[in-house]
Amino acid sequence: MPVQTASQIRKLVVFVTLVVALLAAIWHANRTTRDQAAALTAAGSTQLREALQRLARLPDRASVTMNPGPINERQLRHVNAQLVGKVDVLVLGQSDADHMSQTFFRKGVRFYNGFLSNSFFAYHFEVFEDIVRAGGVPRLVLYDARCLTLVKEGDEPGYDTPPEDPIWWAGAPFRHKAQPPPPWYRDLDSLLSLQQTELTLQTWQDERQVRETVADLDKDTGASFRVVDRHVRSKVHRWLADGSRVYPGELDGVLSTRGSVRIEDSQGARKLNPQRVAMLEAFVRRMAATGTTVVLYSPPIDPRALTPGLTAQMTGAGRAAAQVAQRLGVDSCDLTLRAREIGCQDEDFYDQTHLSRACNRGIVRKLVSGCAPKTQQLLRDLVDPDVLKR
Amino acid sequence: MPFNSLQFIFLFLPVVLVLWRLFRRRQHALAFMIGASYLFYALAAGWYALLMVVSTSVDFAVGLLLDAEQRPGRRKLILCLSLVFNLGLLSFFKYYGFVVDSVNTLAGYPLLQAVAGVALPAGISFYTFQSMGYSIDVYRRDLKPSKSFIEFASFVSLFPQLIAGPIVRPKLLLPQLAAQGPVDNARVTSGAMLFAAGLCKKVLVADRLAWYADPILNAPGAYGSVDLWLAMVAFALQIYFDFSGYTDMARGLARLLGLEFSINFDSPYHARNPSDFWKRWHVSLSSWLRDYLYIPLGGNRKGRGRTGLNLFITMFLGGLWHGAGVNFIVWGSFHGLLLLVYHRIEKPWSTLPRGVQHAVMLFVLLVSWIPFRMHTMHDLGAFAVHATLAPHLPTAPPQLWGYVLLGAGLSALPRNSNDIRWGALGWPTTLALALLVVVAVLHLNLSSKFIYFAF
Repeated sequence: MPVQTASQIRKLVVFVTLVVALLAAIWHANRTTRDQAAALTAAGSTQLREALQRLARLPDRASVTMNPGPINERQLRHVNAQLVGKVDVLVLGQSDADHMSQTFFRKGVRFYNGFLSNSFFAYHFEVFEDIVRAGGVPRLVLYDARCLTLVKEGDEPGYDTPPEDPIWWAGAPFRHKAQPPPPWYRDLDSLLSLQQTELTLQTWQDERQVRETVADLDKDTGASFRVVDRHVRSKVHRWLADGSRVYPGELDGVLSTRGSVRIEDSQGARKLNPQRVAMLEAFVRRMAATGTTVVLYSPPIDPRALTPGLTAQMTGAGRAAAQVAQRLGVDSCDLTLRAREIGCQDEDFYDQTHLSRACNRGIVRKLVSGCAPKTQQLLRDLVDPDVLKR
Repeated sequence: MPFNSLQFIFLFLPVVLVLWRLFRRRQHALAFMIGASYLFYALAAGWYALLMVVSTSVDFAVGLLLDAEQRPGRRKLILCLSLVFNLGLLSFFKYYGFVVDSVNTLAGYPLLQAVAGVALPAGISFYTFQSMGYSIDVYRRDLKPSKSFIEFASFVSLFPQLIAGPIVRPKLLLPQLAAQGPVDNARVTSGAMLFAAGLCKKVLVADRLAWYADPILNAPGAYGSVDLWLAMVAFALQIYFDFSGYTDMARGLARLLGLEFSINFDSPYHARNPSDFWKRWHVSLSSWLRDYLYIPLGGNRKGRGRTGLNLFITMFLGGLWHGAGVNFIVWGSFHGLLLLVYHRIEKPWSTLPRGVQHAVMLFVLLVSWIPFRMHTMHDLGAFAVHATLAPHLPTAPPQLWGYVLLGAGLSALPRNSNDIRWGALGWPTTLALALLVVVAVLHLNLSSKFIYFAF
């Protein structure tokens, strides 16, 4: 082969390799940051986004102050899903799951608590979708389908409920009725676009700014979205990097204050709401269809709050949840009336439904030790053996 | 799937090139290329690909019949078959809607009904001319007819030149296809670089110019003279970089396949007179019109008056070839008049200083682009009024000035893409071109169709 031709071919190979390698690098960077950039752009205030980015970088030191409620919390979950990435164990459900903690699981098990206060089942599914999109299907979903929710009056929206329907509070889900994102090979035009590349660069610049300020914790002024020391008491609710919540005055899982009374007189119109049961079934079916293992559980109510009427209602609701689980072939563990059995003492109740970390540990212990028989082996693989010790 | 799309650059082209090189036998390779080209065409034109099958078959048969027939009258009749078929096809698809609209406008009521769903098949103006040129060459005995349908079909359908040319002469391409041997690696390198350069010209210059100039040219009544003239300069540069970028890509693709196409542009804005311009602008069309229309009309052999008329007719039809619209008729007629006048003043013109000739020619060309770009008489009128009677401070974005300067600078360079040895670029140029290609690819989702795809 003539020298000149060999040189030309070498140049062609370098040329093509350089073009393809650079475009592949840009595509990879854009693909990696696209969902995160979109979520960070779509959800929440700048303060919240920056606070969560800083929290993700200081998981052992920091906590984020925030007023509870679905508006703030849904934005928090939406952003957090992008920051936590792959999750092995996902907790979903109402606020009484808030003390389910990373500390219950083995080292290396990626845990995230995606509870939402005072929420619809549709919002729980929104968290599930966010987690799946960001990091894939979790191995296990612990779903707090508390019996009290099933006897709550009112409508429960489905995903086909129009976003402008007044039933939604805190807004319809982020991707309500939206088409699923196209697979990567159909989205090359967008992923290899100048605009997406600019967004990636912007995201990187934002992250660099967050990194520069991450080392310093904020002063706890009682305002929301402050990144404060998790090992110092606060007067406000705080969220940890694993998604769990710390109550005002609580330190390292030990409660010191009490919340207000939440369960009104159990006499009256409260009865099983078939629409809520149907929605629970619909959303759990969709989750199970992704291949994840779902365990339904209902946490204990403070035994001091139980009246004969409420006990009967909870028993009926627990039976309905069990029937849902049976139809779907998943485990169901109703602990509503079994607080003492799992070791929850009076001081473990922040109020009638919200539990300390120790009491939640008892729930997990109960699940491992036979209350979720189909999932027992998976739970043993994931749960820290120390949790099984009383 | 235009050349400036990710699907073409990263899927269609690599797959076709790899498979093309795998075939050992020429006939197999050509048959594969026909399949690939028809796929390429069907993605752009759908079922209209069948028209190309018919057109190819007719001209192939005409070539064989002309070869077999010796009687002049019969030969003329056979040639007429090709002309009537090709021009009929072109006229129907290109001018049918225009005729219906014009008749209805003149009548004042819908006298004629348009046939629903008749659209202009992509590239029909190019492949009918190419195919028709073959029949004429065989009729004139300038060319031996192709005996191989596969060679002829690949000549007509070859995807690099299918949609917007260059209109490659059968005398140039058929022998290359017949002798298609192993691909020359040096030519492949040259082709890849030329394709890359064409992509950059289209995406990074032409499309950027259009991005900033189109809002002004789409609403000429809303802008003043400075903006309008600046935008028209931008369009003059845009159409050059758009079409010559496309041509470079087509020629680069041909080289990747081991073929060589004719040039189509040769620094047209260096022209110092209208005749010079048409030797530099869309050369494959202008030379086709010269050889198959102007010369048969009599060329310059029948006196000055007839020569002028022939020039005018040729340019008028050249304008009409671009599309059925009054603006193209005006544009073609304008160039016909320019050539006519130039032939009258050729001697005194040549005594003018070169700079003056060049400056006047540039201005005349700029004026000629106005009807080409303004698609309606209303816009043309608005441009004429506002560009002359509405002086004002410029409001165009600074980027437009920047891209106009860039385009003007590039088009003024003494060498163009025909002069560069693309296979022997230095390392710095090769690396710079690679980076420009990456930037161009990032702009592809902003890239528009090639202007000449509409013709």
